[in-house]
Amino acid sequence: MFKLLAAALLLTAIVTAAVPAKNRVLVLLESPTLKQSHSIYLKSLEDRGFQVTLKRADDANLALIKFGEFVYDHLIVFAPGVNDFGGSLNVAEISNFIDRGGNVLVAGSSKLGDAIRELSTENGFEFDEEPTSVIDHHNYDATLDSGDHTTIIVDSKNLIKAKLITGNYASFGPILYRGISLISSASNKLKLDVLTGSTTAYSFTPKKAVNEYPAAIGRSTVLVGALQARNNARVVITGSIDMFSDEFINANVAKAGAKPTKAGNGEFVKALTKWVFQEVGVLRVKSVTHHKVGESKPPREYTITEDVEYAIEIEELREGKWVPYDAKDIQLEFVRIDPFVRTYLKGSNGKFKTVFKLPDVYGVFKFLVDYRRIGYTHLFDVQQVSVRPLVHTQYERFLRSAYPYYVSSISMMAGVFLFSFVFLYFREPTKVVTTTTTETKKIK
Amino acid sequence: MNLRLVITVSTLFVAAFAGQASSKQPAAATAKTHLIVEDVKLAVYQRSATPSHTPIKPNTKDNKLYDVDKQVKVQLMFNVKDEKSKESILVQQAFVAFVHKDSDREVLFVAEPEAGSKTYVAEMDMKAQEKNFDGLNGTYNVRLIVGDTNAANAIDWNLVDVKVTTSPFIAVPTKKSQIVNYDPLPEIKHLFREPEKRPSAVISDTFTILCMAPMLLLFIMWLQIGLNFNNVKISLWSLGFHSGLLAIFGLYFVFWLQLNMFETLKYLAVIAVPTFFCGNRLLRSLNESRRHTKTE
Repeated sequence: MFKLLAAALLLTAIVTAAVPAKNRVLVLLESPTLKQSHSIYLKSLEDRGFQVTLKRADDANLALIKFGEFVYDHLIVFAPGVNDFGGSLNVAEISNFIDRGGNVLVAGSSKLGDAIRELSTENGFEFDEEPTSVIDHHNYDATLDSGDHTTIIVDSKNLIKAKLITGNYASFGPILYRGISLISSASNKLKLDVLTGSTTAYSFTPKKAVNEYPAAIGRSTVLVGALQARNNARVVITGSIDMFSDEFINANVAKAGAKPTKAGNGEFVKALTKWVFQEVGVLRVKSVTHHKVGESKPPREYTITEDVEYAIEIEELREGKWVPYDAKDIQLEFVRIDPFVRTYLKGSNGKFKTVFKLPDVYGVFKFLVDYRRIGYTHLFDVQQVSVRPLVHTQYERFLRSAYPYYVSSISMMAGVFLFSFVFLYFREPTKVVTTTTTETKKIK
Repeated sequence: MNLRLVITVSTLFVAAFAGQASSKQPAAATAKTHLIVEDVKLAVYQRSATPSHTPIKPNTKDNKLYDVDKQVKVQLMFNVKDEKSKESILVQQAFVAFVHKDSDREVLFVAEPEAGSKTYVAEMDMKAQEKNFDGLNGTYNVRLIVGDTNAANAIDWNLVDVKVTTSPFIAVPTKKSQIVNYDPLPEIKHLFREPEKRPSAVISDTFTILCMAPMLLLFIMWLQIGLNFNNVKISLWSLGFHSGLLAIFGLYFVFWLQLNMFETLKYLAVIAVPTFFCGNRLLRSLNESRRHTKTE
């Protein structure tokens, strides 16, 4: 009796809890002191329903993938100085983890180990050399800085304009940063520079006069870089582990002589982690339909210049639930190698539809929706259809140019019918014969 | 006792001074210098010419908009001085930033001190540097950025604006498979083929009339040579034949409109047999009546 009740309660508890579906997080720490110095951040992860496993970076039992299955869904690396990971973990395994859809958040610092350098290079960002830091003599925090102007205040206007990744940047304060700079290259097409330094920042050895051109200067000092891979796995790399620390989250930032304001680190790292762990900005296709206008099921094949109606339903993941997506810039392409038609889809309540006329070209086409926006996963849907040319009975039947031919044939038929009457019933008129008078003359 | 007192007090003093020397906090606060930038000279000159410098007063902006293109060199000389002692010093950060006015694109240069003196020189040869501008022409704010960890202030001074014109920038085309596009693409509306031109209706109608002409001529000539239906004999056979013939031509017309060959042949078989039979009888009866009148 009690066992049944307990089982029923457990079942309801599991079903009703709004826990994210993929919620196993592995956090690699460089030393156990990080548990205390980053307690606010780690606790916020657990509060959102994640199963957080804290391990040392050189723990001998580390494994992300066991027997081909994921042991964890997300990875946080808070071990900037590590040279080699422990257990079976290495940069190749983390790359494999990302290739199979896992999300990774990596934090560095001015003392960077080889493993972290290699990991970030694999993901398209390079760290500056040791022992450089990001320095900004114009924007440093007067209280927390140790004198070499490396604890810098970054205004929220240096954030990428994507609220999905950064949160509502207009509402939170400036961000504190202390660490090393990333360098991103323009050849990496999938990168996003989430947070950059301002024009006055640069990356160089602290307290040394700049005697050569720095590797990262001005706005090209990338402080937080992100990458959304083609399989929608997300990787965020940053050069400051202190950005996540309790000290910075609770701090009040103040430039020398200015009024202190609350640092925006708390909201920023929360929004950033939500994006990396795919809690926001995830889209999926619920259903796709296409048919001729006036019908409800697609035909076996379409014919050229027909009117076609296409509808796609798209859902977005918000707070663990799939809700209808709303946007005005989704486009449909009708492609046979090259697009013939590209129109915007009008949406209401997550259903986006359009009506258009098929081109007068026949072939094998596809209805293509390729939706890629900053912060969202890549939405790609293809429906292949055949478009055939006109059946021979679908052309114009009677042409004015052919009237002579019609008239010729009909007049011939009418003529024959009338001629049949004339031919059968015409009687030659009898000739008047003059020989009878000569005959009577003879008899007389 | 006096000596002991003196020794204790003096050791205490020495200890206090030693402690003060080793603690950095109060010493650092007083050691921070206040920076000023003076003796600023700007020269924007053709590559083949010699530079002629115009001085810029501290904290002012030169209102002239200099034109800069690949034939031009820009040279900026300045001294960073301690405000109190008015001596030239070397600082850690001395950059010259060209920041585009309307977008957030920028190009930065590092100013280095001349050998032997403490005057900073930033020399920008536009022929070599114009590729860094990525083809973005327009007005750039030239800002002098000076900072140091030992300084109490940092300088970010917009000295002058320049109008940059770069040579045409040929962008390297990226491979189609590597393009990552986050914006909507332009709309494409398919341009339908114009239908082929038909000959004008006048020509068709003219020929229609020409084709009808023989029949009209037929009627006219019949009337001319004289028609009569004197031989007509209304009998079942004549009725059958003529209606059958009409039906066959009607069937041809309907075949043209909507039937196919199979249906037509089916109907034709049904109509043709009686028509043939009636026609045969009709001709026989006509022949008989002709023989009748001949023998009479």
